[in-house]
Amino acid sequence: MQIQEIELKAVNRAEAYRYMGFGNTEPDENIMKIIDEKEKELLGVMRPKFIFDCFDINKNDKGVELIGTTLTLKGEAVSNHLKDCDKAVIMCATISQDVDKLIRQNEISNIFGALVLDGLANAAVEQLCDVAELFISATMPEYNRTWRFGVGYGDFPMDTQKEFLNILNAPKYVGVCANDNNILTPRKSVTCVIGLSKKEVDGEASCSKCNFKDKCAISKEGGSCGGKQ
Amino acid sequence: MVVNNNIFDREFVVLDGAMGTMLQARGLELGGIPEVLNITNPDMITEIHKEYINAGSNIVYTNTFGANRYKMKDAGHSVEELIAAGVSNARKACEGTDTLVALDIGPIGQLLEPTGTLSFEEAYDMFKQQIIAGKDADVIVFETMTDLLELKAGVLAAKENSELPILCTMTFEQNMRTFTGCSVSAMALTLEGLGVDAIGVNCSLGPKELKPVVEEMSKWTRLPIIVKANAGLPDPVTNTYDITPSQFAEYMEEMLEYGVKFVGGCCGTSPEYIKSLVEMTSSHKYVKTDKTIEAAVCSATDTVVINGPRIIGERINPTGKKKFKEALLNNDMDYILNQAVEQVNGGAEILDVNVGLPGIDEKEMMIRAIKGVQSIVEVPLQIDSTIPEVLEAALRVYCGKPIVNSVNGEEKSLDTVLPLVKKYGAAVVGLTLDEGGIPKKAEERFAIAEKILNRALEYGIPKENIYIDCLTLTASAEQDGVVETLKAVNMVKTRLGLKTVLGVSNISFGLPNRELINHTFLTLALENGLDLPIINPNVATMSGSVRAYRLLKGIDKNSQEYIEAYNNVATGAAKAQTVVSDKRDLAYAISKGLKNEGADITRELLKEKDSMEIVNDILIPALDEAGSKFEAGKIFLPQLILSAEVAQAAFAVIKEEISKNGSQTVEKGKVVLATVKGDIHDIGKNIVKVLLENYGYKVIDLGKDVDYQEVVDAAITHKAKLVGLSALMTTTLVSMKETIALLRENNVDCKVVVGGAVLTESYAKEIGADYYAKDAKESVDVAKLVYGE
Repeated sequence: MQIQEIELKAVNRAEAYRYMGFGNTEPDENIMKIIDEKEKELLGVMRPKFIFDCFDINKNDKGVELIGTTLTLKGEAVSNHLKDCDKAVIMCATISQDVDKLIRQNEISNIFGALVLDGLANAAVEQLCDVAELFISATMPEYNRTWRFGVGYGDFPMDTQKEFLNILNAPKYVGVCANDNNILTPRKSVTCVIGLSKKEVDGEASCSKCNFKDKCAISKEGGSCGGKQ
Repeated sequence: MVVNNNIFDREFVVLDGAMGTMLQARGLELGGIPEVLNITNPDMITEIHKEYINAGSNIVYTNTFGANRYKMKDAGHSVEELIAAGVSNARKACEGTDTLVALDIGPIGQLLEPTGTLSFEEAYDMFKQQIIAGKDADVIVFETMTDLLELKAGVLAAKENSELPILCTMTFEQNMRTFTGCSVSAMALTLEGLGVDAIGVNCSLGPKELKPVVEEMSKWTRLPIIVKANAGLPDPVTNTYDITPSQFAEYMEEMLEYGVKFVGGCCGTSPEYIKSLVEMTSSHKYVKTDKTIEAAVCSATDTVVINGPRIIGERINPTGKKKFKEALLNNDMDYILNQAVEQVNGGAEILDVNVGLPGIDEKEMMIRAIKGVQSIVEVPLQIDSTIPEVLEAALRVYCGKPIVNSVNGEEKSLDTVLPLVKKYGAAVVGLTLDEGGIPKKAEERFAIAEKILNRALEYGIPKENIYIDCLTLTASAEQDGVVETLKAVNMVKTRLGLKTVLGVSNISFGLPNRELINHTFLTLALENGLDLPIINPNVATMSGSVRAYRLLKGIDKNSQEYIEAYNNVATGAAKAQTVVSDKRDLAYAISKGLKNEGADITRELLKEKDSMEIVNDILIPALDEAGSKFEAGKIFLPQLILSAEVAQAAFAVIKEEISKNGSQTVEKGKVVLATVKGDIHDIGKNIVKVLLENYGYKVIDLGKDVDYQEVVDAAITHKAKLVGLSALMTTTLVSMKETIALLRENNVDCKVVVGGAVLTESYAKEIGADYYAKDAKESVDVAKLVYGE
C-alpha cells in the first residue's frame, strides 16, 4: 500500500470550464478574473492525496476476487474491464475536507463563486487521478494499465464503497469515508480500479466505450469528459 | 467501577503495541473484521495480549477498535457481544498480573456533519453503546481520532455513562494537524476542559516525527501525555516500518521531558518494541508539568490566545434588529451565516451567538446556529443566552472550547451556569451584577468579580477561563458611570489578574454620532485593560482602533497584522474603480455579472424611480433575457448564475429601501427546497434558490441531507404550494421517492418538482413528481406555472 501527497500548481481550466457548465466555450474576461481568484483560493486549501494497493486477481463466477482480501469486484462491466489483467490496483484519491468547507462558505454569500470552485475542484480531483495513474505505472513499469474504472460506474455496485475504503484503510490514511448512501466524504474524492497486465490493454478511456455514450450531452456536442471521443 | 490499581500513581505507564499488525501476521485478510475474532478465535486474541503483557505492558487495549454499530453492521454479531468478548479475552490474558484492560474505541468510520451526514447526536449514541458494552474494562481509550467533535461526542458518552478514567489520542500529520484540520492546541484545550485523564498522539508517524507535535501539546495542557507512535515510517514498497525497537525507545526517550507518562506502540510495533520501552522508562522519572496555561479559546482549527485585545463580533443578536428577528422567525439560517462571514471579514476573532427571541424555540435555534456557523467560519464562538438549558445544548454540540456569556453574581446564576462551564470546559464571562442590580461604584463591581472568581475556582474552573464584564452603562443616562466602569476594568485586570470583557456599543445609546463615542470609549477601555471588546467589527473605525492599539502597544510585533489588514486597502479601491464601466446601466451590469456595480446603480436609480418600477421594468426583464439566452445556448449556467447574483444584490438594495418606507414586499409564493436524505451535494439546490428568490418567491431552504418528515412538516407549516427536491447521486434517488411518497401519504396540498444530475423526466414521473426541471431556469418556470403567473 502506498500513500502519496502531491502538489497541483494549476487546475486544468478547460476541464474546469466544462464542469462549470461553459461547454466548450471560454468565459469572458470579467468571469475569467473571478475564476483566477477562485483558483488561487482552491490551490491554497486543497491537499491532494491518493492511496492505492495492488492485488493479484482471480476471476470466478462471482466476479473478480482480490486475492488476500475479502473483496470481490462484482458486475459485468468491471470483469470485462479487467479481462486481460493479472493484477488490479484499487485507489482512493481526494483533495481533502477544506475544499468542502471553502465551497460551503461560498454557497452562503457567493453562489457563483461556489459554482466556479465546484467546477475547479472536479477538474482538480481528475488531475490528481491522472497523476496517480502515472505514479502507479512508474512503480510497476513492467505492467501496462487500463484506464481507471470508478466504483459505481456501470453495474459496478456502489455498495462496494465501504469495503473498498476499508481495505485501503482510507478513513485513516487519507480521511475518506462513505456515508450510509455510499457517497464519498469529503465530496471531492474518487475510488477506482485500474487493471494491470503484461499484455497490451486498453489504457485510454473513450466515449465509444462509455455506458453513457447514447445519452451524454458533452459527447453530443463533440466534447469528452476526460478520455477521447 | 473504580480502578483498583491507580495507573496514575505509576512513574510511567507502558501501553501495548499494534493489534492489527499482529492479526495480519496471523493471517487476517485485508477487509476482514478483526473484532469477529474475539468470538471466533478468542485464544488468538488472548495470546497477542499475553505477548504484550509478557513484554511489560501495564495496559492492554481490547480488540474492539472498530466495534461500533456502523462498522459491525455485517459482522454477524452485535456490538455488545463483540465488545464483551473483547474485554473478556483481555481480562483472561491479564489474569495473575496487575495489567489493566482498556476498552479501545476508534473512529466510527463515517464523517460527521457538515462534511459527512452523521450527526453529533448519532455519534454520541454509537459511543454510548460501546461504553456500556465495555463496562467491565478498567480504562476507556479513544484512539486514532481525527475529528475533534467526534471525539467530544465519545468523551461525553464516556463521562455520562461510566466512571472509568478516559485516555484520548488523536492522529496528527506532519503539518501538526489532523485530517479534519484540528490543531494540537485545540485538542488539548478542548479535552482538558472536558475532564479527560490523559491526552496524546497515536499512529500516522514515527516517534521522531511526532516530537514537534508532543512538544506543542505540552504547551497547552497540564495533563499527562500519551505517545503511541508507529515503528517509524512505512517503506512504500515492502510496507515494513523503518526503525528498530531500540531506536524507537531512543526517540521516545527524547519526548519524556514534555510530560509524557504513557508510552506504547502503534502500527508496525511488536512486543519487542514494548520491551525496549519498559527498559528505557525504568531509568527515568515522569516530568510533571505544573505550568500555567494561557487564556485561550478555540474552534477545532483556530485557537485565539487572549494575550492582547481580541475582537468579539456582536452582530449575531436579534436585539434591536428587525431583519434579524424576521430571519429567526422564518428559520432563515443563511441570514445568520452571512452575518458570521461578514464579521469575520471585518476582523472579528470570536463571534458572539445570541438567538433569543420570544416565540421561537431558542434551544433548537441555538443548536442550529452553532452547527451552522461552525460549518462555515473558523473562529471560536461565544454562546450567549440567559437560559441554562440553551447554554448546555450549545455547549454539547460546540466543537472546541467556547466562551459562555454569561454568569453573574446572583446565587442562582452561579449555581446553574458554573457547573455547565466546568462540565464542558468552557471559558465564562462573569457580569458584575447581582441580586441588587448593577452597583454604581467600581469597588462594588470589583467585589462581585471577586465573588464570581472564588466561586468558579471552587467549582474547579481554572482562573484563566474566567473573564469579567464590568458592564458598560449608557453615557447619556449615567455619565458618571463611565469612569466607574473603566476603573472597575482596571481593578479587575490588575488586582485579580483576570481577563476582561465589555460590550462597547451600549455606551453611546441615545447620542448623535455614536461611532465617535464608541470608538473613543473603546480606546479608553483598552488602555484600562480591556481584553475582549464586544463590538461591531464591520465598522472600520472600531476594528481599526483595536488593530492600531495592538500596534502602538507593541503587541502586534513589527506591525505585521496591521500592515496585513490595511496594506491592500488603497490598491483595492483603485481596482474597484477600474471595474466600473461607463455604462451606468443595470441591465448591462446584470448581463455582465457586475455585482457591486449592480447594487450601486440600483441605489442611484432609487433616487429617481419607484422600487417596483425598477423590479418590473429592469430587473425581471434582464433576468428573463439571461434566461432565454441560457435556453438558447447563447450563455451557460455560470453566466446565468452570475447575472442572478447581480440581480440578487440589486434586490437586496430594493428590499432595504422598501423596509425603510415601511411598505410590504410583494411575495409571489412559498417554495420549500431540500437536498434529500443522504445526499450532501447541495450546490444545485442553492442555485435554484437564488433564481427563485430573484423572481420574488419566498424560499424555505431546508438544506441538505433532509429527513423525509422534515420536508412534509415544512410544506404543511409554510403552506407551500411547491416543494423542490434535489439529488445528485443514484443512491439517493430512493430518498427522493420516499420523500414524495410521504408527502402524498400525508395528503399535503403541494406540487413537487425534482431535479439533479442523474434524474430524467421519465424517472421523475415514475417516482411521483409533478414536474421535472432539468436546470435552475426550468424550476423558475415550474414555480410560475404552479403559482399562476
